[in-house]
Amino acid sequence: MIKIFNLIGKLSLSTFENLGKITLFFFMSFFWLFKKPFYFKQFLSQFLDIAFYSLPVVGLTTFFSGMVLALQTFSGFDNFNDEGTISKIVLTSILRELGPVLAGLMVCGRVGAKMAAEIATMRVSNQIDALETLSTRPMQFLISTRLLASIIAVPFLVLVGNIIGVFGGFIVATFKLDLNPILYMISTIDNFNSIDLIQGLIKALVFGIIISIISCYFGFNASGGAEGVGRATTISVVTASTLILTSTYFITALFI
Amino acid sequence: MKTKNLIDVKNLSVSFGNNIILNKINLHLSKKESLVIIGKSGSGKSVLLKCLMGILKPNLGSIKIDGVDIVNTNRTDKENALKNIGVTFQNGALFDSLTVWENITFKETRFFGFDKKAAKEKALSIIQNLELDKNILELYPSELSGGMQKRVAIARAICDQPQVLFFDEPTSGLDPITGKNN
Repeated sequence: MIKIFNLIGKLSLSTFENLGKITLFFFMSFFWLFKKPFYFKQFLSQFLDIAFYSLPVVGLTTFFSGMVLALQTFSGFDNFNDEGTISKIVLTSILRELGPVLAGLMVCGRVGAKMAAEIATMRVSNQIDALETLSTRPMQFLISTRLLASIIAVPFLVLVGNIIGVFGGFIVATFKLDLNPILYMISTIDNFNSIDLIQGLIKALVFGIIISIISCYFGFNASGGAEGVGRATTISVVTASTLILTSTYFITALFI
Repeated sequence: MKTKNLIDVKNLSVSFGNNIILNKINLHLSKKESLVIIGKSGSGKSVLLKCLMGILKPNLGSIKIDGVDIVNTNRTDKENALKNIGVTFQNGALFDSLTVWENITFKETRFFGFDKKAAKEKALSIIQNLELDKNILELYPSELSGGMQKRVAIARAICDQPQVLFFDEPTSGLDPITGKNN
């Protein structure tokens, strides 16, 4: 029995210790954003990597989600399968929840894993130490630039994903379900609520912070060669994905 | 008259948990003086170097580089003192995402305002002294052999002619003739 309590105690302590360290890590990287020099080239390459190269995967995911949503709504709500209901359900679900969460999870898998692996490799091969000896603060050069890039790129991806997702719903509604395209479009515009969009973008902003900070934290503190890199990558993707799904509930609760 | 030391290490002690790595190390080096530290694997050579480079904070003792105590000073003073050092790590530690010339002139392009052309010329003059081919300038570290990576790392360390040079296993990965020439 004592062993179980011992284990729970150790687990809780390590969780809270990590939580504290991650919070400190976030504030440190945020602080260095406002200090000179600003590594614009580094920021731009990270921004392009997240925003541009994640676009296909985010677009594809949200497109099919919009399509499946229209299809499920049509077959699931027998009595309400008109243009107004389907477009409202597709629009609200995409803007509030599916757009940000799917984009967040896709970026987490693609970019978060890359960030963690890249920084962990730099750590275990002394590249981060080399940066320090070249008068460059690793926190400012590597972490702050990635944080800023994520904060801007993820909401951008969500915005584009939202449009593609709603368009996916429109395609299915008009071509497969034979709904009136003009009525569907008018209904979509009528049902648009800016609060839904803002809610989604706030989620995207939080997800951007979660992905970059969690990935960079575990990468930055990696040790133990190739195995350590793998461990840091796995734990960062699992933690960030879990936090994305957890935080979306709390942000939604704030808006209701 | 006593000459001013460039590096002054007093009672330097480092331990990880109960494992004592360095115990009250003292060393003093003046300008143009060389010191080679030899010891068996795991004896703390790299730990000592990391302390001297300001990467690892010792448990006890002081390290003065050109008069500045890098252990007990603020970050800005420490960084200024460390601007005068060049380092070659055991495994080269070249930046994977940068080409050879970008690696060599990392400091020059960021802090001394070198443009691309000037930086490349500077890198070229250094690698030629290290018997490296000029065609490698545009290559990435992963495209070089281990020995070439090591020499590029040496080129990066000496690029801005620092007052202090630290080499961690500088000749590992180099053939005896190249190692002697470098």
